[in-house]
Amino acid sequence: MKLYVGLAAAATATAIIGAALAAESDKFVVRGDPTKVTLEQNSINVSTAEAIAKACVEEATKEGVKVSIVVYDQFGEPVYFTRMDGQGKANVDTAFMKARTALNVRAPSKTVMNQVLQGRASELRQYSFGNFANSGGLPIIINGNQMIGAIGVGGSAPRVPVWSDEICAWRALTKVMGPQPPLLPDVQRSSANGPAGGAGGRGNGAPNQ
Amino acid sequence: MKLFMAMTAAAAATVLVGAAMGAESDKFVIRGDAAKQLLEQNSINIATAEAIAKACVDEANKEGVKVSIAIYDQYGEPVYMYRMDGQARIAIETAMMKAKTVLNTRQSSKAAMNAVARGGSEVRQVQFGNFANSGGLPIVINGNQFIGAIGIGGSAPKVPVWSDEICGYRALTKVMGPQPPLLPDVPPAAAAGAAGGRGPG
Repeated sequence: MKLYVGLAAAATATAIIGAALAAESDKFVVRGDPTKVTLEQNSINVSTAEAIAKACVEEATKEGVKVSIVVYDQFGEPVYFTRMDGQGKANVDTAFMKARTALNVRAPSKTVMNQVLQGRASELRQYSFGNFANSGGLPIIINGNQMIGAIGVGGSAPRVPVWSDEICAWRALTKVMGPQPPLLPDVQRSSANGPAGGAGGRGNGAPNQ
Repeated sequence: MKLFMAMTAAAAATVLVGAAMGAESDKFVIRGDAAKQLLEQNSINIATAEAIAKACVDEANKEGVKVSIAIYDQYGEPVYMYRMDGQARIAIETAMMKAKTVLNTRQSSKAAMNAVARGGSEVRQVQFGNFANSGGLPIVINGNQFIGAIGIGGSAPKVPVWSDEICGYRALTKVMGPQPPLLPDVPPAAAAGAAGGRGPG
């Protein structure tokens, strides 16, 4: 009987963990009747997108800088966009480009930037893929394994490791969705890459525009 | 105690149902390291795409016709393409156009065709990137999750006995189990005829 009770407890615990996981996802994605039309259970909902963007604006305000933020669903359809007053076209455009890059590679846009900085990838080739080799774009993930969208942040000058567009996005995601995977390392431009990529090359610490 | 045992049984049943649903999806979508890399748990896997295409080819052979089949994942990335020998460019192109229509609308491409048959603008559909013709179907798991789209072109329809869409429907049923019923075959509206409408074939 003791075994039986033990099993029962285990089964109940499993059921509760399952329910908790489902509940966590439910908070962040479109649920209910709309999903019957879209046949899609993993698209970020607008309240989550808005909460992330607002959290990012708060972080930028604390830091005394301005940013532009765009959130796409995992299919690249726009869900939410905001830009703080005083942001120019390049700030807005780079936010979009960073989010697009995260959608293309399903990883932080910094992976592309790091590959270019280390000479492992040609910036022109990345451009031809539609990628922007700059940090500030992050995938938005639930359950550790499902991308539900991407965020792109542009507009503030980086002061790594204290502040960057990417740090802004990372803090916002952490605040709204809980612990996030650590950010990729900040690498230096390899000297070998200097001559080849010399024309128009950009240092790691250059403003993100 | 009896109540407790009943609750236990209920809890166990819930867990089993969850596991069964998970197992069904696991068969049809990319899992494991590849899914981890992609951060994506709902993309149709190549084995399923191939099985559906081959089942469709079997159906076409039985019917003595030829078809072209295109399967995309839910992002519109191509996963599998098969054209039977003797299929011309237009058959292949329409297979892809029908699948793309499904990706745009997340429902059978016959929905766009019926909208036109009922007098809607076909130009508008083209403007949306849709092909108003049947033969494209969504590939769905758990009744609510789109994992890809199939488009079939190339065979002349003999509704309700045969059509590209029926080929796709039978293949999906064979590989993935029961499918939602096909949309009705709507005769073209008289008004649409005057404006250059096209029959449901």
